Amino acid sequence: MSKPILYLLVCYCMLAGIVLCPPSVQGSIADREDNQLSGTTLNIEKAINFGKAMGWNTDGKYEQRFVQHGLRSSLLEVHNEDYAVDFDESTGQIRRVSNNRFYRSKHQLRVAIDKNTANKKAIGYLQAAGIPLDNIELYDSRSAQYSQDSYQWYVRFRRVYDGYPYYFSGILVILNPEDASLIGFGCNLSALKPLSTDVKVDKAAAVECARTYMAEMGYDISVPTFAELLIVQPDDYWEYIGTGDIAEPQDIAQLAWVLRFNAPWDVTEVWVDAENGNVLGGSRSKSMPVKGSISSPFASTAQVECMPQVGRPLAAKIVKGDLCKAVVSQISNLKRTDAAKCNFSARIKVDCGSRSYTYGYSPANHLLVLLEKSYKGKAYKAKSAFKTTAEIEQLLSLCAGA
Amino acid sequence: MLPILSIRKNWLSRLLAMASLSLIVCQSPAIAVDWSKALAITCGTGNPIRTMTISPFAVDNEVQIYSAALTDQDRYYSNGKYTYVGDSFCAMGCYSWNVLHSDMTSSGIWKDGISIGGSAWPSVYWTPTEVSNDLTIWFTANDIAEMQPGDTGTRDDPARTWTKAIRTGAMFINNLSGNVAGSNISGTGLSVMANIDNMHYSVNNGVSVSLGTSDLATGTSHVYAYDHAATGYTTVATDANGDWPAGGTTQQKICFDSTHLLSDGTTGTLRIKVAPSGSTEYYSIPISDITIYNKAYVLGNDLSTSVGADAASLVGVYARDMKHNSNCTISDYKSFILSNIPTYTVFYMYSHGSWNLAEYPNETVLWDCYGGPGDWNITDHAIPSSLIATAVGNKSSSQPAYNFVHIDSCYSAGYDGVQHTDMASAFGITSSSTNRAFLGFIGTSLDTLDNYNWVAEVWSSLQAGQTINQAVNDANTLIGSNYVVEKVGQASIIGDPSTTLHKVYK
Repeated sequence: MSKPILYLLVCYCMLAGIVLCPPSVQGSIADREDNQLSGTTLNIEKAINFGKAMGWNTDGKYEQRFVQHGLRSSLLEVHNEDYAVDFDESTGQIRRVSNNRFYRSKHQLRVAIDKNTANKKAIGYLQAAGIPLDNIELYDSRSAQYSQDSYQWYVRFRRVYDGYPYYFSGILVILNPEDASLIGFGCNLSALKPLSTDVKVDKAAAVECARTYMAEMGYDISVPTFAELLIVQPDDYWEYIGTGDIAEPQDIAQLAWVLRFNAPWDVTEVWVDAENGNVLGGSRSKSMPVKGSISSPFASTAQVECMPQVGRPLAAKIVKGDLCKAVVSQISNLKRTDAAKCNFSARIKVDCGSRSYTYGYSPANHLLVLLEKSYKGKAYKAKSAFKTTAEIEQLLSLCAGA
Repeated sequence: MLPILSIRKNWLSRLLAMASLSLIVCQSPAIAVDWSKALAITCGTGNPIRTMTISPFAVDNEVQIYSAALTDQDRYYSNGKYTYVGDSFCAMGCYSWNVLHSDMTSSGIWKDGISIGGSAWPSVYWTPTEVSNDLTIWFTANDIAEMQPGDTGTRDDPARTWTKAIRTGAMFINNLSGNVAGSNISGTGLSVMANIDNMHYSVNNGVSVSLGTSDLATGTSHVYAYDHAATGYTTVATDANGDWPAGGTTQQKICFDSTHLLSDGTTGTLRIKVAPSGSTEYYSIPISDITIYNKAYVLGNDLSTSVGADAASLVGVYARDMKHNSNCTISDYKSFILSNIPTYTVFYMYSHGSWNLAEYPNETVLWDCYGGPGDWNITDHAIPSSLIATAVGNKSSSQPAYNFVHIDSCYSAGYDGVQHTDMASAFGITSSSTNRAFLGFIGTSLDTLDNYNWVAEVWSSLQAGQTINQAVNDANTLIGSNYVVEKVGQASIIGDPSTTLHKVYK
């Protein structure tokens, strides 16, 4: 089967939620017939060789399937009864290994190895798997309690470029803490090179950039609890807050100050471009924000624009001053509700400095739906719906007549 | 054994027969009994009734069959334990055999003079109601001299009866255990104790479980039987006598998964089905009125998280794939969640979490679908572990316990590096739980796409039949890679790490 056809088949199967299982093979690949998947034979051979290197049971039937990896990619998994090896489709490199046999016994594992043993063993396993270890540095190595009765040992490596570690590229090796045998490992060795490694923004300046940026959205972030220069994949995380959409990493890498604050959320992470001070993304914890650390993002609102959508085209009505303040004050207090398809009689655009928020307004459905948010000219689609109150409906009516 | 003489179509004969073990009365048989073929068990699929075909000898006289395994009442009147002679299938609940075979008399004896043999020879149907009772068939002939079977039967001259003890056997199941509440069964850790005795055919084959007329769990992943060699895996093997080999009760345990083929709410009689080589399926005596109970409560806080709705939607799909009745919502308030909690056996929520709020000191707290920026009202939205414990305590005797709880929030399993078990305990899951587990985070957990992907990997692995432990490790290695703790959170399992949500653990 040609690669394009194979690719289409794989895409179809992924879209349809189908696990593609080509014919299985027994123990060795010698008598295996060619099938639809290119590289299959090589993958099975690699899996068998790795299993042998680990001293695992390499007998029995081998099967293959695609496993989803994130939203948009998949791995090709080769497994027998006792272990599984996942391959990167494009590079053919081993991405993940799981010692399935380990899980068929119940364990109460205690720590009986030291750090040096763990690290040495981990490196040996990665070498046996053919993982390139150049530009990789040891990041962390320690035991951790994974259940009430048992421990595991984790060895973590991270990829570095020009001396700077990646935040999204590295290796996790999980070991049995009693004998350092391999439970599994996974690696993400993305080769995305950062656009630049110039550091023109120091830590203090980066914190100020983060503080200013977050304050514009109503977040009070206090002092950082962590700051390190790491290579990140920008995702504009904070611009997606409240849009109802998910921030996804972009296909570029940039050196950034990864800053963590303990407010408003217990972990409030802001990535600041080390070259120009732009905020590239971040994250937040699923903890309740510190009360009083979040205020309305509309504090700096300059105007509200009301654009009728029905009947004859009407000119947009621009509202400023007290009416503008009253409207944005009410919007901040609206309760979220489930989005529903409806026709909007007007669009309401709230301009506040570098950001604007465009809502669809349906008085009939008592809905105000955030449709789009923009920041410095970049638009972010949104789908958050709010139930309107009599107060804001009255105010919007005034805006329309302004 | 009492010889029965000159028994001819009357109740007295039957009463006398009941005093004996069993008999078939044949008169004037010009027969050569091939006993090796006489006792084929040809169980009809989906029915607990076993069929014995007596062939190929021909008789043109009367036949009666009795067994000590069956009481008179069983044979004639008892629904579900009926025995009759006939060549057509009889549904359970037949009340007398005289209506079943046109060639029979009202007392169930073949009329004189008919020729019965070959394919027309009657089959014997019976429902196995007891273990360890051999069925003995007696033939009584008018002219014993004509009976010249070259077989292993016993000729009781001059009583003119011919007897043959048949190893009838039966399979009993009892001690249904696992997550069972009343007649409701839930989860993957169910088991029955099976007793096989005197089965005509030795069983050395796979086992499946049925509910009503449908398969409930089949295949090596969803049924696990301990065989006599204690090597595990899904075969049962009887010895040469058709008995379970001695060796203790654990060797007779059959574990099964209620999430394989049938949906929540399906009701029927629970039976174990084995497939002896050389015969069709063979069913155990059923345990009646069992209902599958697998209900998942899947919640997401969409209003103040980035991926709450998406994560809940995803988990809801996986739960449905695992045959759970999945209530997936992003709009339940605290009071509604608490009132719903007793109903379910699986719980997932993506929301905010807190620890040690002033209102709920030293408690883990989960926020409902509306808690977050814009509404910090603790009374309205914060759900402490103590209230959850009360709600779980309100489960009725017919509502099975929680099999798996996944609280996808900060601090759900601990704070500041210290594991807390109060939320797990509230759901009834402790360190001594078997095949029940709680998954949470020690410390913070981030609201990001990485976390969503991590959840997807965990539930995908669970759907594939992996243990909670493996699902977490695989998610960590696949999604989190080296920064898993920083980018997702430090996952912690409370309860049994070998818990499965789909497929039996073996």
